[in-house]
Amino acid sequence: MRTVALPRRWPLVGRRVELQDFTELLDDPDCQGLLLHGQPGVGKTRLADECLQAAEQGGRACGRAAATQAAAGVPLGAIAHLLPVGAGADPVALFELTARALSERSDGRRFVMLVDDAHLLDGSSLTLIDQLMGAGIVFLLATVRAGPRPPDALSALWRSDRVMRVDLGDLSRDSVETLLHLAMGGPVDGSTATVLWDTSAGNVLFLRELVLGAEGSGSLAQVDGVWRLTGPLVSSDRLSELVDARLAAVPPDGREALERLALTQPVGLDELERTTSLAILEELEVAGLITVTADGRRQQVGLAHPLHAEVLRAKVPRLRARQLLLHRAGAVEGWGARRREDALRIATWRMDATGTADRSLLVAGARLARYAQDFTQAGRLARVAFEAEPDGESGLLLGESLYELGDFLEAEAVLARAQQLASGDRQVVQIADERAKNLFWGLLRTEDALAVNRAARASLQSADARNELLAQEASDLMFSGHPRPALDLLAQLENTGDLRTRVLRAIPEAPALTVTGQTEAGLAVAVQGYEHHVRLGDQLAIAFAGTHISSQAFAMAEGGRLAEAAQLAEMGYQVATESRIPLGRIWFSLNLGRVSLLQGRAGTAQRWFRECAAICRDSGFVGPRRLAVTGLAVASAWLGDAAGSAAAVAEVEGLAAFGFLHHEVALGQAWAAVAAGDPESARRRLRDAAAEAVGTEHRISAAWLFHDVVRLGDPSVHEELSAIAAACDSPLVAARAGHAEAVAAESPAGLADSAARFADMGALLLAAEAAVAAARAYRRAGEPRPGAAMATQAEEWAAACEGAMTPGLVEVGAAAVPLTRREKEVALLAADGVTSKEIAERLFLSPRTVDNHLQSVYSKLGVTSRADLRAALHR
Amino acid sequence: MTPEQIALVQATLDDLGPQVDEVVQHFYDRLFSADPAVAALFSTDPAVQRRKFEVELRQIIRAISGFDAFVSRAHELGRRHAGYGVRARHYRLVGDSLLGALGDVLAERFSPEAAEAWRLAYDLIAEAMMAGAAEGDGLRQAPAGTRPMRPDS
Repeated sequence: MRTVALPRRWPLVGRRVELQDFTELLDDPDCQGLLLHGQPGVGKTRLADECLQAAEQGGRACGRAAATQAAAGVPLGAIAHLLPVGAGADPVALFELTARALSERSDGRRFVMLVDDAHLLDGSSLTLIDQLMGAGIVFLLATVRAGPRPPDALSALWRSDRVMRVDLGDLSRDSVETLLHLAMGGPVDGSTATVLWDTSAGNVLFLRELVLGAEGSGSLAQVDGVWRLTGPLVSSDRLSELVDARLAAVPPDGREALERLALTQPVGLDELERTTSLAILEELEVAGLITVTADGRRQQVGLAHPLHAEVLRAKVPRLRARQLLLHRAGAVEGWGARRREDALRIATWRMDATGTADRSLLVAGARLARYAQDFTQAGRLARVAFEAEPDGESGLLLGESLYELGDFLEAEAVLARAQQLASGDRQVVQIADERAKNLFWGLLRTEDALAVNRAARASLQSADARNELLAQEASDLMFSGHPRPALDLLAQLENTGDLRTRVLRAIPEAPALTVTGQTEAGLAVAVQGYEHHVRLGDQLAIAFAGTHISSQAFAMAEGGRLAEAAQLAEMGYQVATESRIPLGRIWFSLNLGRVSLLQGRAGTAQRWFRECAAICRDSGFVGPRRLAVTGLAVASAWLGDAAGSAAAVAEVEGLAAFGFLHHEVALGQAWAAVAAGDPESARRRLRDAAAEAVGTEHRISAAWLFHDVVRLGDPSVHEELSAIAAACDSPLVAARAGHAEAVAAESPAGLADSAARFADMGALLLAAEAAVAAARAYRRAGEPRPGAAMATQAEEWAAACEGAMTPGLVEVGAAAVPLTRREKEVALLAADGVTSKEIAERLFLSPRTVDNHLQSVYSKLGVTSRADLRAALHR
Repeated sequence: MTPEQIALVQATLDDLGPQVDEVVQHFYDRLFSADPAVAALFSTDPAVQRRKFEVELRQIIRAISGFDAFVSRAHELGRRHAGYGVRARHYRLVGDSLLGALGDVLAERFSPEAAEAWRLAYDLIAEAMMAGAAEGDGLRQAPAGTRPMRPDS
């Protein structure tokens, strides 16, 4: 992580047309001035300063004045410094003196006078400026704060057609994103941009304070080139002052309405009118402080700016807040609290007012918040209920919220207590479920998770309840690296037709089928799991429905349907990001990284793995991080970044153990070794891990690992791969096995066929590597024409791999040169600057043999030095 | 722009391949029919102009991922365009025409996400260009349509 000082002065964004209009108006003799009008914080003064600077650069004489409340009492106080020395009080003489002085300064052209906050200007100043404008001496550039009515002082100018008025509004969302990108000097993570937009609502002043505050507190930082929030946005003292200044002019009854809204918005217009007159509400609306929106037949009133609400809430005196909250709760209850979300609102208000509320109200409110994925609020309400009198339900709600928010230790304490208080099968199961989930995913304590589950199961009466915990245990088995035992356990489940059980069993079953090689069955289970989950509706202690979509993408990718898998996972990633579900974002970004690797898109893979690793770190769900960083090691190695790859491998070794797809950690280690010039140990590592994966029926992992052995030049594992393919339905695994056999048999047609099969699936790096080998094999067999065609294909496919440069691709470009495997290894190492002696040690050869190989490489490639060798090999 | 959006606009260009040519054709058609006066800003042979636009579009989209190089490229581009008489208000017109042209050629392949990414990419490029133009005084001093056009872009 790296923090970078942000520029103090931000770029001007979204205001260029206005700036240019100003320069054109300056040349228009019929126009005497420009008023920049808008709410505080939209950037009036900034734009005016830019205009003035432009006028100065255009060679015009300029002056700047700021009107203030204090100076308004002194005639000409605000502009005194622009007037000639010795000007008396006589208006006529003053005008003549000033006109002459300014004309002289500005060389006959109009003097550009900027008046900031011109609505505060005193009458004498205004009269004088008006005369100077009329005489063609001054061009007025003024900023005017938007208020309930046009400012009295400026009313003449306001209505005049001699003066142009520009209404500046808040920035659009697009402009906010552009401003952030330009001001921060790089891309901003999607959810960070959303939070900053939501909080600032396009007000540049607020946006800037939010960014600087977050940067100062360390919660906004640049990680791997992308700016992201790693903590909450807090409103700084400075922000609070800004809001205060904005609200200072609001009369007391208006302020009361604003406070009411800050505490309990939105409020129906009818209801608000009972305490606040319509005239005041209209003023507030014109001043841009409140908004009125239609909600069905009702008109709803809310505060226009989220930061105003926050600051107002913090400033309302306790007793007053209590009175307003209880009043509102009483009012909504008085109408029968008909809407679904009313329970949540009333519970929240009563709790905010008194620190507690009726127990059933708190629990109902917590449930509603939880179904809306608002775990912060669900946790707050549930905590009050649980601490007043712990029971199973409030403990489950609190524990689940803590788990979702990443507070695993406290979740365990709460759920353990709740478990003792649970009553009835349903509650016992849900609490055990949640506790086991927290132990497994949050605290990475697999054995404890299984123990909790089994102990709870012993006490159950109903088959449904037992089934649910069996499904949970299967999930723990699956994700701790035991897909076969997971499937065996699921086979014991009695089929009672219970929907919840079916949803829960799909969570481990789909990926277990996929990793053991039954990708079609895995996909079917995931599709059905999702349908059932949607039908099931709101439930406690259950993962979000997107889990099944993630399983679908996984199954599709392993079944060789790469483009579809990527599309599905991207959609899922967006939904999870918008709904702020970290585990969802983790799984989808991991899927996307994996699919990108299979597609050979090394740069894209790197990006998704980084994203996944960053979310893991921020959210506390560290288990999947091993896989993300492993993927990063592979992608970095493909891109020729040996140091990055080694760093990623070192990072993985420091991370907590996690069972899901754990054999694949060898992929990172192996490719890092390749990048470091040690293919021999890479192959060894891959073979060992593959053999282990076969033992635990991780067939898709085993196929990938063995196939990478082949890609690194050793086809002797082709029989193992064929055996795996025979036990799988996946065309991808079959293509891997076919490729291995073609390499072993040195069959040109077989290699060409493999290349085509990989290409059909969208696995373009694998396709390109096979095509390179096919080209070589054709030439060796004395068939240069198909050889040349394959070489051209290889180039094209390799071009889609975003710069991936694997040993199998080395001969792209130099494809006419048939190097043997040993020669290639020696050549690559030599090109990377490894000495002959070191090469000999790494490859277990004699230095003399290494030199012989090198000589042969030199003559085949027609080069004479190591530098030329680098170029010839595209290193 | 998010890193995903940057990748997405670059992927759209890759997807288009030689069809970028069609996009450029549609772009000019749309631009000139939206504001015929704009055509007067171009004095180059249309075929050469199209080719230059295509090359610049590829270059600048590629450049977005490296911030400093992107900004200096966009500033320079903005300065040059100000010299040809391009004004701030033209930028919106150009952006709308470009987005429209991408939609014409890509049809249903132009997903809402891709459209959003392109809108943001264009906004970023345009703001950086206009900032560059302002630095070079181009936007400030050249009154609309009064400057002689240089023949290239």
